[in-house]
Amino acid sequence: MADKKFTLHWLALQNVRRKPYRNLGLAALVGIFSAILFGGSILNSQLGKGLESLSDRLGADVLIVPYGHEQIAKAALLRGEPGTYYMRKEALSRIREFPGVTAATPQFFLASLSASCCAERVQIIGFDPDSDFLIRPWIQNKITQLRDGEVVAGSKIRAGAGEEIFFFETTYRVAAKMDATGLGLDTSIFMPLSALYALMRDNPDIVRQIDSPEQYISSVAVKIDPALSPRDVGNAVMRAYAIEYNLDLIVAETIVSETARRLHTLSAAVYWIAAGVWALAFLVISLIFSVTVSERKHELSVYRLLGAQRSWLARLLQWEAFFICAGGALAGILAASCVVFPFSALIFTSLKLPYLGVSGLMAAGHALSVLAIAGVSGPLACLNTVWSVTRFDVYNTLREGE
Amino acid sequence: MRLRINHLTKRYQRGDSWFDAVRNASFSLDDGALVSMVGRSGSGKTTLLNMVSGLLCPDSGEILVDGINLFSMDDKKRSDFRNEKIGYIQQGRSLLGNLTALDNVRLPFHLQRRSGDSLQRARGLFADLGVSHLENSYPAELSGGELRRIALARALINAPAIVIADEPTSDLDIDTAHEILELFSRLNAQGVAFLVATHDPELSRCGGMALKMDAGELTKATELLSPFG
Repeated sequence: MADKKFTLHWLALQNVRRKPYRNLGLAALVGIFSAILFGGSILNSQLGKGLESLSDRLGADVLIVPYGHEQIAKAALLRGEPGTYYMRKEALSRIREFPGVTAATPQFFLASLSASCCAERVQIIGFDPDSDFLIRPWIQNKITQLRDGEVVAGSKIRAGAGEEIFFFETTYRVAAKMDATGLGLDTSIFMPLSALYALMRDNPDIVRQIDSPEQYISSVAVKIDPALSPRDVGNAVMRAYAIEYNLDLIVAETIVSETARRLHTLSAAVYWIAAGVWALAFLVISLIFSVTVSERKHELSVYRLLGAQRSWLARLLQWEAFFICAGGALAGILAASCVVFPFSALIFTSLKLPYLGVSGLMAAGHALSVLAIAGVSGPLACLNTVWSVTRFDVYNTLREGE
Repeated sequence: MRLRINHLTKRYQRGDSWFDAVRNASFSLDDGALVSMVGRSGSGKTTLLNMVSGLLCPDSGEILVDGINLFSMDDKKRSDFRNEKIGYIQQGRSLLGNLTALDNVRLPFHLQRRSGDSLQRARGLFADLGVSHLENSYPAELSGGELRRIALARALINAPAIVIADEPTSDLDIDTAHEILELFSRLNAQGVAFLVATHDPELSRCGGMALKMDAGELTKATELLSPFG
């Protein structure tokens, strides 16, 4: 039925479509606003998920690292920047026995020169399967133990479970993959400490800083009695052993709160910018709409002459505003998607913040919210114009047009 | 439908002084009538037509539509009256440039909830007026005479009781103007009432009742027996 098309929406769409240049500026402005809002909210969600993951997955209450390597350790943990630093292994047993410490597990960090999986150097982390509480909870396909020649790969390592990976002249089988954490763990490869020590024994040139690698570890992750303050216990450990073993302390809570503070600042900046652009867009839409509608008074008078009610005319103009804004918002969301999704890694690496990808559902939710805000903003911004334009003097307007 | 115009006056301010664009105008229009109104440009014809169509509120006087005052109606009722009872052919170009000729003609049908097929109706009118080949043209592509025919088709789409035409031949050549008048004649013979404003004395000789507007003053010029000769 051809008659079906003759609706108010169709007419509004026709008016918008037949005057593309008139409406392009408005749509572009809404597009910019929507791109900032959508891109900003996606980045914020990615950061939020990264932060959630950070507090969930640090696993330890405090980390003990060699003195002077606190920042390098944080960079390795948060961003996977390969770091190699070592401390004597005897410190581990002392820390384990310290009052208030409920568990302590060692890790050994090694940076590969190259690996078949990756374009850049990767962090190889040796962990102690017997005492580990950091790695195993996040392995996707739960494995009871790693056999000789097997490793666990972080989520961003390209080799999948069952595939092979090659580094330090040795081929390893990926026994399992880790869940995505948003942290440096995603770009690391994990193997038992014993296997890592054996690798270093066979290739003495790998670590030149230390003579006998088996006597060294890189860090100790410590769990503290929940009834006690991690900072207090950590400081007590430092007072007891810092000088003797040359140790430094990282309190997990501090990493989370530091990251949260930076995230909060960034989120606030993104939303303030979006709010500023929105306010500007609202004003400009209102202004441009007022100008373009004034130019269309003769056309609108014809509608009135033909028997259109004021309310019908108001609805027509509001549908037009809706289509322009929704079209602009859709274009803005698409443009932002082309930047945000492929370049998230680059953006967050430069911001030095952990992040995790958002689900399609969450992204769709953000897109719908932005569409709704833009879709409502257009008709709202032109409310005043619509009010005045539906009350103009039709007779005089028609005469002016003659 | 019976339309009674009683003592209509519309005043405007020009500089410091006021003048009567229409002064104390009265006449009536019944089904199938033909009333032509002649007068010079600026004599108040369009002002009167706009009051009759309910677009312009008079300063005094009344317009009774079957006994009901048009200006006591709210916007909805007055819009409905314009949409259902009046077919208006405006002076100059009045088609909407965004729509094809066919959609321009169909538009008034869809300004209200109606059952029926506007497409079939519009196509029938296009055929009657000999412009079927122009259905998909946009107004910018049409000549003056073609535009006037399409405007007439649009005025007729809702089968109005009265067609109001403001200077329908003002910018047309003699042959095209004659064709338009013949169309009016044919439709009037079918029972459609016409109220036509013109400054062309030829048109006033077409028949029906002829009124003369001079500086806002409406007087009965003559009553001819044969509409459109």
